[in-house]
Amino acid sequence: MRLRAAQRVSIGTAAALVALAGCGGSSSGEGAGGSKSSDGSVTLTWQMWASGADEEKQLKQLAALVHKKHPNIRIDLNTAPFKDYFTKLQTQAAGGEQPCLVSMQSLRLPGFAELMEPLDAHVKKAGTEGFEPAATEALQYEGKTYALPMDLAAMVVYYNKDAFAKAGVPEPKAGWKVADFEKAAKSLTGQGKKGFGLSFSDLHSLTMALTYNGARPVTKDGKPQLDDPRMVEAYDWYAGLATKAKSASVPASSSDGGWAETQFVNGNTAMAVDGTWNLGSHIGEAKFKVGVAPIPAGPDGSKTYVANSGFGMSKSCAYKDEAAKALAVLTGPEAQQSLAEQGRVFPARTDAQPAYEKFLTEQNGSDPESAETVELGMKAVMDGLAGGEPFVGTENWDQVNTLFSQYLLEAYTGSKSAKESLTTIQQKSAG
Amino acid sequence: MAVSELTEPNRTAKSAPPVKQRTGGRGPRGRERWYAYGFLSPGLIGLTVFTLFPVGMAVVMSLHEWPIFGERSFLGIDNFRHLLAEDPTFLVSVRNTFVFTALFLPLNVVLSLALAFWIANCRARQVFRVLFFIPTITPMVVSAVIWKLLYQPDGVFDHYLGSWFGVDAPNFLADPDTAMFAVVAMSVWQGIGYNLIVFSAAIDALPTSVLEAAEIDGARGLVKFLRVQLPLMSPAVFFVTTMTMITSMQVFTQTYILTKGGPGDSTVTMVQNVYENGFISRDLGVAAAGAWLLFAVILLITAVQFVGQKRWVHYEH
Repeated sequence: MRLRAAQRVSIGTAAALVALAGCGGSSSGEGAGGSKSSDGSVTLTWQMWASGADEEKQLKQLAALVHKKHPNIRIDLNTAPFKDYFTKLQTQAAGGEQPCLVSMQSLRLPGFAELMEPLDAHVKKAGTEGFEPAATEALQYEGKTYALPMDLAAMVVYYNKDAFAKAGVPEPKAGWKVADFEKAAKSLTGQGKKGFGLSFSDLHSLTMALTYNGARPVTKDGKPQLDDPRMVEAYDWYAGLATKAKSASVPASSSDGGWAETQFVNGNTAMAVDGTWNLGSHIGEAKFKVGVAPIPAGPDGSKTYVANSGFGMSKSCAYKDEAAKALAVLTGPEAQQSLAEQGRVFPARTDAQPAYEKFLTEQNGSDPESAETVELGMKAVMDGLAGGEPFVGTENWDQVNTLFSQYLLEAYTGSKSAKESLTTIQQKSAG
Repeated sequence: MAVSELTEPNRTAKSAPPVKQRTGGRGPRGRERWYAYGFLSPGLIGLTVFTLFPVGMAVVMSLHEWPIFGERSFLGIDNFRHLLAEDPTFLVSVRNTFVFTALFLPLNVVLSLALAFWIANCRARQVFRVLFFIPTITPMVVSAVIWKLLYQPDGVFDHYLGSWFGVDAPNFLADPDTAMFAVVAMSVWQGIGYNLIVFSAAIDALPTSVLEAAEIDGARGLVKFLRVQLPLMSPAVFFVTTMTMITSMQVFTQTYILTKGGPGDSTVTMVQNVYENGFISRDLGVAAAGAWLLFAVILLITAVQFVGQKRWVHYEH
């Protein structure tokens, strides 16, 4: 008896391990990215980022909407934290296990387009209407649409109203200029605080370069031109806010990607450039009154990049018709309304935008000052969207971002010139 | 000691009869062999699936152009040639890794040895051992994040350098001249506890008779330490230097969290280079080749240490 048991255990363990080793290959009844059951209903996997139970619940509501509208389609939702999401997607792709429904950020689209199915043949024209034009445009790459938009974001200047009042500096208004920004940053510096915080994150610093002199890091055909003379000039100025004017705080290390925003929310800097996606959280977290203004105007007016996220399908998806139906619901009016009401996103559908504004106003209390902030914030978003251009990176944008964090820091601390830093980044990202 | 002496005879007495009952049939040998297979198979299969197979795959991948997605093609040794001859980033990462090891290894060994001796004569030595061991059992990520807060401008170091000495602290992690030292300091703090415990155990195991004999012969202080205690502890010293060398060549977590390789490329290590080639540049072939080169370097240094140890490590008291 005992002997048998031992044998059984060892054989069982062996079998389990062999089975484990076989993991990763999909079994015969399944198509890539989903499965079909005997009654003809299809389950599609949907990969999305989410943090916390609330966000997961919001997404589950969207998945339920799909099933309600198309009873033969079920959505199997998989989430990962945002910071791991794209690594996970990559790894899944390497193992040939992409989900059918892929969530994608406009910035990263060039790097992932290879994995994704162009939607133009699958989604009828009507499916792409009702969105802010910038939102659909941002999710196109080389003339093809790869995802339908969920949200839309622009960059704005957040500022500390209390600090401005204390220093007696007039608050930034629509139409303010780069020179006004520099002056404000200088006046707000002192007593251990800085007027502004530098960032090496792409949208945060490149938006300032764009408005300063129209510098663009990528050519029209998607090649890096980080050492372009305009880029050098713009980053000379941007780094100079810390090295020459001494009015900006410098990230403490290359791993401090969110330095400018955290320093602002902690009250250590009076202004920060950040995305409109943080409107709600900044107003909520800061222990001072938060104001929002458009990016200061350079020679060509106030410029900002717009970026967003959306949902598309993977090239390998075995159920593309069902996936197209699901996408239409996930980005449909009802789904957008639901996300906007819960304050998850600034919705890409114009019809859902009032719901988002209502959420922000309610969340931030009814005092007139907060309501005004929300209103100005929404206006700054709208202005940004009107004048904004979608940001399109290079195919190796993740790599460029890593190089930004390593080498721009040297320019910000003054140990290298902006030209040297950008030349190095260009060499490494083009090579 | 007393407890084990008491229980030892009991245990054998109790367990002896069942052993006899089970014998029979094909004899104990045959059964024991089956038991052996049973107990070995999880380990053996685990080793094959989780170690040998990935190692084999890494060899295959390093010889291919192997993007995360897209076409794979056979390259031969081009990935290695690329790393060694064409990619300046890799060579910088090798240099940084050696600089880190050259600073970290001696500092760690000397400090943990000194501390071990210092607290060996202290009445509260167990308390100190626990205290110094705490950083080792704290997750590295947590320690690194806390140290980052200490290092940053207006952090603790900056504050006290300013208020006590009136000195402006450098921006430790953003200055290429200080970033590596800052990483080493944090790593020594983190890594010292483990070696301290190993050395403490070795000190406790030093034969009193030999030490007494040495003292009667007039050995005191430094002479006693260098001529008597250290040679007696040489196996522990060898173990510590070898293991510490291996872990320091594989340094990644601290630098990734504290500096992410920056500023510039001043703290990019070999493992970070492998990681970035694999998951940022999405070139698994080059990443695998880099991992093999790291393995080769570690193997070489360890081999040298093993050959060298014959001259200075004494295993008999």
